[in-house]
Amino acid sequence: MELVLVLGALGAAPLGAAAAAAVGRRSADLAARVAAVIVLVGWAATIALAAQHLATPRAESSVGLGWVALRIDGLALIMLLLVLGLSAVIQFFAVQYMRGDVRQQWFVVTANLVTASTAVMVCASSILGFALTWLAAGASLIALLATYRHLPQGALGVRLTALRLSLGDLALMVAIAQIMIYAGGDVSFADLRDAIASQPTPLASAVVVLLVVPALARSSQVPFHGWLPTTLAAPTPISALMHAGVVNAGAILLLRFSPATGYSTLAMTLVFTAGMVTLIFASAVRLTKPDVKGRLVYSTMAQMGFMMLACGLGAYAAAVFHLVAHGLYKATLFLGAGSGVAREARERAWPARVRARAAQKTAAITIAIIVAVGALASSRAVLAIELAPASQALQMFVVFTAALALATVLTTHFSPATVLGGGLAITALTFGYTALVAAFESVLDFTSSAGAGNPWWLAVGGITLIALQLIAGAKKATGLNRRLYAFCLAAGYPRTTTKTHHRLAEIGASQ
Amino acid sequence: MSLEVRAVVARATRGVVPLWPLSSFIAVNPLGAREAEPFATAASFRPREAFLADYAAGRITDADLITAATEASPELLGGGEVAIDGITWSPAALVAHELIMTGAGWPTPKRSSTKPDLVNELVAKWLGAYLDPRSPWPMPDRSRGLWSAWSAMASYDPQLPRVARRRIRSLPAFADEALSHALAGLGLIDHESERALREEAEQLPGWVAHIKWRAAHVGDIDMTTYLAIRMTLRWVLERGATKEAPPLKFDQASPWQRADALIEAMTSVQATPALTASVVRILALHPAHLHPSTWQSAYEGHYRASLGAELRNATENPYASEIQVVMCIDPRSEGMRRHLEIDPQIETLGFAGFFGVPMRFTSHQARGSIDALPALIAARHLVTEVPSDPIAAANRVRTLRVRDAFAAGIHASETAPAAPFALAESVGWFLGLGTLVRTLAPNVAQFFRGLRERAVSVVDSEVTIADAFALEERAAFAETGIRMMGLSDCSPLVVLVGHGSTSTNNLYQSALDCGACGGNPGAANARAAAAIFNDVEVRQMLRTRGIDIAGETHFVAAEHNTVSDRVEILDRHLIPRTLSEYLRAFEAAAAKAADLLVLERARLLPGAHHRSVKRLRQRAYDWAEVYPELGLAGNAAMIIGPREMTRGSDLGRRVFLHSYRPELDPDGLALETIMTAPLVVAQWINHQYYFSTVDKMHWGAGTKTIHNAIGTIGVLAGQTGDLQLGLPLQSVAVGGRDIHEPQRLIVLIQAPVDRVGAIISRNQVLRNLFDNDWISLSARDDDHGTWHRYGPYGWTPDTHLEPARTGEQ
Repeated sequence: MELVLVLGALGAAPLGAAAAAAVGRRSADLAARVAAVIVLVGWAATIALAAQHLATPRAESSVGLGWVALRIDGLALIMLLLVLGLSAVIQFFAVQYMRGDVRQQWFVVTANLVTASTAVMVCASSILGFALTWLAAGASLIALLATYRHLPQGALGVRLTALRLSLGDLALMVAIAQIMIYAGGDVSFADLRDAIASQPTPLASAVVVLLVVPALARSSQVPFHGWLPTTLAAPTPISALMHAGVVNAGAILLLRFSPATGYSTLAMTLVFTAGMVTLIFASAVRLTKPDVKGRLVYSTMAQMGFMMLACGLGAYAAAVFHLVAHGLYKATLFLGAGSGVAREARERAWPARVRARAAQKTAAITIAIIVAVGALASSRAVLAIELAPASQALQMFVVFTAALALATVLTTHFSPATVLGGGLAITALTFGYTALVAAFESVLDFTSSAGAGNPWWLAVGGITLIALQLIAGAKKATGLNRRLYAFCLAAGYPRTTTKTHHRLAEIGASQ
Repeated sequence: MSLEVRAVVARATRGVVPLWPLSSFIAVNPLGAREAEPFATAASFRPREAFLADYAAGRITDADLITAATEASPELLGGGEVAIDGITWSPAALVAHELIMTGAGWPTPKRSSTKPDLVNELVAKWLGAYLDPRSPWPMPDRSRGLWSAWSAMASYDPQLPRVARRRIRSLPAFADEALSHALAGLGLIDHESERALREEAEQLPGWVAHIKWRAAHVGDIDMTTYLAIRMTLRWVLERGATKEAPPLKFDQASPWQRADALIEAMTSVQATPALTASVVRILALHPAHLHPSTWQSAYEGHYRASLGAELRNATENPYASEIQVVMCIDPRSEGMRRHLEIDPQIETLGFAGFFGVPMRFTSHQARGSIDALPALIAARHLVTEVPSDPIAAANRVRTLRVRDAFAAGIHASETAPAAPFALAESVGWFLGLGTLVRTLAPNVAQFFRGLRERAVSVVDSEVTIADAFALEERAAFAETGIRMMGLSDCSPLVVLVGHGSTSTNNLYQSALDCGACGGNPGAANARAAAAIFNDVEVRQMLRTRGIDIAGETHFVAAEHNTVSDRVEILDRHLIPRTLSEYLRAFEAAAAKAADLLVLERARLLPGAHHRSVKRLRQRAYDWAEVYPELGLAGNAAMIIGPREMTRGSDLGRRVFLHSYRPELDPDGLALETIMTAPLVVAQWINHQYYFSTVDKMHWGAGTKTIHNAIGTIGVLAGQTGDLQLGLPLQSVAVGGRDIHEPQRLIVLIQAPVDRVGAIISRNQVLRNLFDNDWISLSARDDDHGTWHRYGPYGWTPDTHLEPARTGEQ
């Protein structure tokens, strides 16, 4: 039974791609529908598989398909649910959204290839299987981005992405080859710790650092961050599909390879630092972006920084929790990126805001802080949950966000309805949050985080972000403000060199 | 100095047509500034392949080509046949054959590639940053204007080389001074500077067009500043002005070459010198540069003939005008009117959808307003509404305030740098669920949306026309309206039906609303107009001017939703009980018409279900739907005259219908207004669709799937670049197949022909349009008269519209 379900889950997307390739010549519309239904069935199989695993608690199960060994554990199931679920829904969306598009069939086939390789990747049980599917996912992502390669910006995006990703993939190949040569063959993740430990220290450190590079490149982290914004020249569903295990695959790699990377202080510090730098950089650039998708894409970059930072702290469960929730969040925002005009029309009919009195403001901020802190403390007490220290540190972000949101609600309109409704909403969200994080921690049991960074390092990020907010909100322009603004604004556009100009001209001429 | 610079800028940017923001998307002719030139030289045509495909499909016939060729070169009628391979060709037929067989006269397909330009990238970046209305990090010094803000910050721009940044540090304080400074620095003097500025203004047509709009309507940016920044960048970067793009190359074959090519295509036999000579003589009568426009005329002529045939289908079935329905001239109303008139007691009329009431409208206690009036008029009067139940209204406002507060809370946590991480983690789950439901079951999502909407009570209210307009003004609106639409005897129930469109996740939603209401739904104007017509004082004043509206007549406002085709009655609480029977009859007819029309439209709607009315209507709420409806695609003609001309004929939702009765307009003033306002607006729409179809990347906005909005200003195609002009691909085509047939508007007017001619000669804008073939005009005195076409040599019988032509074929 389990084998059937696994086959159903992993076979759906390849089957979808094959069906779309076969039917597509007759009708791209039919191809899109057929593929979407097949992937939806695959998602249903995954749900059944997950239910089966929940009913019979065990850490993981191994499934062998010929020479391919798969590992169906908590991480694989959670990721399969996300990848197949999002892919199916996005494909249904695209049936209408891409209707009639001359490149619709290409989109359907390559989108399913990306989904297919990602799905197998999250279930891979050995380093070779993982690396191969990782490379396949990267290659099919490039093909997917080439959907609009006839547009100059689309072609540029393909080139930049291919360049950045292949840097990471090259590092991965070197690392995998080194481990395999040293171990004399493929190494399963279960044996990875021993395989690394048996190597001389300098060599092991080098391998571990090499393993970090592909994760950073795939998740668009500084210094490999340049590719993600250029993908905006691809149709909206592709931007949404990035969040189904593509741009967030960096965390999967780090989790799977944590028996190697988790014990290395160097690797973990590297991951944490890249995450922190990306988080701050992308947050700042996002503030200057005028276009809706530009804001979303830099927000994704910052959120990936947050995810990496959690990985660097060894808060793996928190990272996966963030990966999934943010994937759903951002995919939705991308798909709905065309609703700005309607929102403005709707809000035009709302009553004008009344400026809050000073006393109301004070009360609002006080209530907000009390509710936010109280909700978190009581949720931990009531649910009797013991969280890892790193997860606890990350919860400071929850307190800050809850307090900010509630304070804004109450200063905008202070009434019994907002106090009660806002307070209840914050409390309910905080309780749900704590319970879910705890659930993720119980499902995802990773122990290999000896090299993790100190949670106190987070304070640097928090303080910088708040300073950034103060600078952006400053009423009076200063030299620092102007300089930072000009820097962030320029950073949000593709670096233009004579070479890119030349290349763009070539693309333009070949149209 | 400064005045002089501004004058040069004004001259250099005279050709720029404003681009309206997405929130009030108004159709414009992107080449509107060139209407004083002939269409054939100013504009572009469809590619030859498109015409050939239409020829193969029978959409253009040999007869159409022959007619078009003889229209272009009447000398072709002058005999002199030639025989090739035993087949005898008349001159016109031979010319038509050349059109099909050879590509002479067409531009060579290879496009001149535009080189990427650092100046373009830099200004696009700064413009977006400056104009972004809701930036979480507003551009420093924004309040001091673009020039001050830019010049204060550009010296920190890491995209500029150090030398350039140093030069920027010592720029003049004012833009016009800086522009002269930069022009001098670049060594451009006098006439050179105007040419250089014009070329700069042609670089990012979308941004430039938006600046033109914004300078006139918002005023926080102007063309001088924009060009000053561009020229300053050119100067500091030491990159001279861009080279002018090479003009399109046309196949300039001589008649001898053309004859050789044609004969070679027609026969394998070596041509005799005599044959070649006679072919040359014929081909020379129809020069190669006319080929594209002759194809276009043939394409339009075919439709013109079918329109003429359809007009003869108009029936004279008697009808009783128990209920009069006035709808917008929008072609989409044609379908509704046709289906409403199945009920013989209904008479329909066409009038601009703002019903003659130009206003700025703000709903009760609202923070914003809409300019609900045609682009030709400026908003001067603010109309608002007074709720009939103050307590219910206060409740509504309170509910909205709570909603606003929660929206503000979410917005704050989205934008604050440290907050979005936990926000994504806590609300992502709900958004994911929402995405699942919205995509797989849009009707369930719509149910929940309905629940949320019903939580805010709808409060009856009345629009405040008496505060906004003086009695004299209101009476003038009413009189003008009645004379323009020829509403002679009012029925007991007159329904004024505005129109609006519902779509989800659609940046171009406003392009589907009523253009006469400034790209807004027409409900507010219909309500205001109904209130004016029902005003007792107004009616008294009208009586003194010879217009008598009976006491029992009541005007009712309604709105036609062009996605569901449902007609919703507005301000129901103001309708007297005595009318309930008429109202019921109207609503029954409207409900029937709605279902029929939705199914009729489904035939052309991409991916539409052909039987389920329910699923067709769901498109309005489907966030993945890029074709909620087809808008005004297909528009091809405008008919000004009484409904008897067209009642009973099926015009396929392609015709603007403006009612007009000469007998109600003794001095011709109403006709002049129709011809200089609604007709011009219809022409804008027509040309917007034309150019958006003919060149989808340049004059159209390209595909919606990569659109990336900047606030409600406009869209980028991809990550960066120019604002997109015109309509998106999905308004005019499905993939590679055009939905819209790009044709120039055919205007038909039934009114005294002399009067029409006098109006044209008085109005330069009309002379430009008709004399230069931007649109065409035919007129007849009355329903017994014959159609005459306006042309360079006066009025000539319209051979397409009159049945005689079919006899000839």
